[in-house]
Amino acid sequence: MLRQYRDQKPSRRSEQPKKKRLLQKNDPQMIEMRKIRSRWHWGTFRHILLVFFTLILAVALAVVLAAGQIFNGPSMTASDLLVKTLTESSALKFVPYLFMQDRYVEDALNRNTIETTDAMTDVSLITVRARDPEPLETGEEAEEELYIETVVGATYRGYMMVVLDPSRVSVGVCRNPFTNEAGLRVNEIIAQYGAVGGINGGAFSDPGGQGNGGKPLGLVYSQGEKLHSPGYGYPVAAAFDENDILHVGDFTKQEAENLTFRDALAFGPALIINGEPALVDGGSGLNPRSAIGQRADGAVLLLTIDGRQANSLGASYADLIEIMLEYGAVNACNMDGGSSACMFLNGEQINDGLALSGSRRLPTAWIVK
Amino acid sequence: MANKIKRQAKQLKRYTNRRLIWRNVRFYFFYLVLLGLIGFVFFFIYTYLEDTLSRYESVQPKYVAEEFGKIFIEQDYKKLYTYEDHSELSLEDEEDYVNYISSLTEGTYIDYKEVPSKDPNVKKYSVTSNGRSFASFTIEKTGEKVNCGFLGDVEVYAPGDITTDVIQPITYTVTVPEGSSLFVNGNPVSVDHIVSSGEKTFADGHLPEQLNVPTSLCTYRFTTALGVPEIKAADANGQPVALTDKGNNTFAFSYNYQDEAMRAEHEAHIVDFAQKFCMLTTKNALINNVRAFTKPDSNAEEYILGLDRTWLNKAESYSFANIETCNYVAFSDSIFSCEVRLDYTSITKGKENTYHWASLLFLEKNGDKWLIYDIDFLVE
Repeated sequence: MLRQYRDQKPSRRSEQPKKKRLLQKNDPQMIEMRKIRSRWHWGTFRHILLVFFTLILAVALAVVLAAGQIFNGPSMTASDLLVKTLTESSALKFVPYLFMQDRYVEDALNRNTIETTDAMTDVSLITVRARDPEPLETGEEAEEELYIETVVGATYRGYMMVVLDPSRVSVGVCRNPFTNEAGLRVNEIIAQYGAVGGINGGAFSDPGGQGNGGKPLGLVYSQGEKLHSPGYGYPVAAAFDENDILHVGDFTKQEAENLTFRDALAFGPALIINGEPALVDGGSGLNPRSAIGQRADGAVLLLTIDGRQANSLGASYADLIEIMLEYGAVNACNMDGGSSACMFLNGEQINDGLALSGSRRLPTAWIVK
Repeated sequence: MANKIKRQAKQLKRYTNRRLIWRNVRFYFFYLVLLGLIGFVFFFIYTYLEDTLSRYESVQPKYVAEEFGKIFIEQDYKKLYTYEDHSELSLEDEEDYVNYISSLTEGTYIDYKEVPSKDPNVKKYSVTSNGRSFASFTIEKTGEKVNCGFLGDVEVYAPGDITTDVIQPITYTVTVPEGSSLFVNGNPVSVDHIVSSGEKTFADGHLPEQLNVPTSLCTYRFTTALGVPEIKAADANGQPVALTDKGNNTFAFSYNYQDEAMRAEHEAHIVDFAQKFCMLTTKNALINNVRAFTKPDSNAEEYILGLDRTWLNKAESYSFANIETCNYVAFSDSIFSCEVRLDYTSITKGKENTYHWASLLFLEKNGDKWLIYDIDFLVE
């Protein structure tokens, strides 16, 4: 019929019979045609809309059902892992409570603990190798003393920066003294000190994941100067003393002063103390991580693990301990992770950070001169 | 003309309505197919997750640890015996092992938990009984990995070693009369464990033959590993042989020492003899005074009678000091021995001499009297 109708349509061709008149705008056929076109288009639009929203809904439903299945499915280990992973993050810690009763979430968190010893660092286990009295002059020479290796595990990919001379590692801060202003990106802190590289540092005030990264928490020493007192929920710290030996543990203000710390940052937990690994019962979540450690020869290990990415979900504390032990760490401490985790060398970010806008603004960083 | 146009418009409308209906039918058919596909994808995701999560859970090391942990929690010590290295158990068998651990853990709360391990390839667990560690076990990475989809490759663990603090090898030295049998926890100890034999006791050669008292010993040395063993010995007649704990895991056959009971009854008599004997050596006592203490026709009497005193001089004065009797041993109701010691000081021709006198005396009851039938002088 349409074809017939089209045949009736006036043609621009000259062979069009002249006796047929052109359809006018107000002709019923034209009116009907417009209505048909309108109904056709609207119908198509509705169909596309329905398919589109169905797909959106299906994807959303799939995500919810998949999450529900992981939280409440056949694997308690996977459930615990997801609970721990999400509760360790600032922005998504509410999610497990959407899928599980509070007490089950608490049970999952209680099942996953890390026990550390109260031991103080035994400095006799570390023998810092004799330093070259001549300062390193060129970047090339400096790099011989520093190298980065990729570390890969089942669920993570990361980078280990090995600094042979521990005196090159210190704490960089966004400003001294700290104020309410925003912190600096790690590469900016590194540049501020004229350092060659570094990783993110210790704890900072980050209420609701909305902190500006300007105020640290816990112990902060930078180049021999105490900038922040211990405590504030972060009792564990990693600290270099004036002999370049890394101490890991729970330090009071007095202990920190007695041990004459040179550079220190707080976070935790302590991963290895005096070669004794902490007991990770059930493991922690998979997240981006950073850690610092020291080998028996004094070399400093700076570790950054990527996470929350398709090719690197992240690492647990047990993974960090395993990596640090493989690298011969005698003492090691977990540092700030999540979206803070980053590693820089010569102005370039080594890891694939989470933030699209570069590294997060932070008050402190471990820097390598 | 107008009617024709209207008619055509109506036809067009009808046709269009049919087309729209047909299009809707086709769309909803497609939509149903889409929903079916979505359902299938959901089912696929569900199956994939179920499978992946189940696989992920099944390869968790905690389940491998649970295999070992269950042995302890269910107190299946026969199974534990098969796992633990018990090469050091030579005198104990499976039953001893099971009984011993059962006795240690009976009624206690047994649990196990992971403890730090310095080896990244090994997980270590401690087993506790009422909170006190009494065993440990390990599980080890096999090097094999199981792919668990989005959760990555998971290392497969296998059971490692079980070590209990229960097996504590201790070497014992036990001396028993020759001809006796030695038993540890009721099991006989083979003669292979004898390290020396033919050792004579102080009573050897001093006792009447008819008296069935051992005077020759042999020594066993053996190792047990399940706590303090029950060590028993029996003589050739099956009668129990008393063993004395000498310390340092050494046990020895011991005669029936009865100092407390016998000293009061016999000490005066013994000391009197010793003093008389000393006095005899300085001619301050008569030989018959001494002989009266001895059994006729005995070694003791023979010794006294044979004593050559011709060259001795009588002491002008004498005294006794540090008098002591000890080690009373009752061999039977009518025979015992004891040791006596004293310092005898005599002044002969103005010269003072002090002698230490120590001897082992064997006495036999003769009527209501105890007579010395043998003397052995102790070198001190």
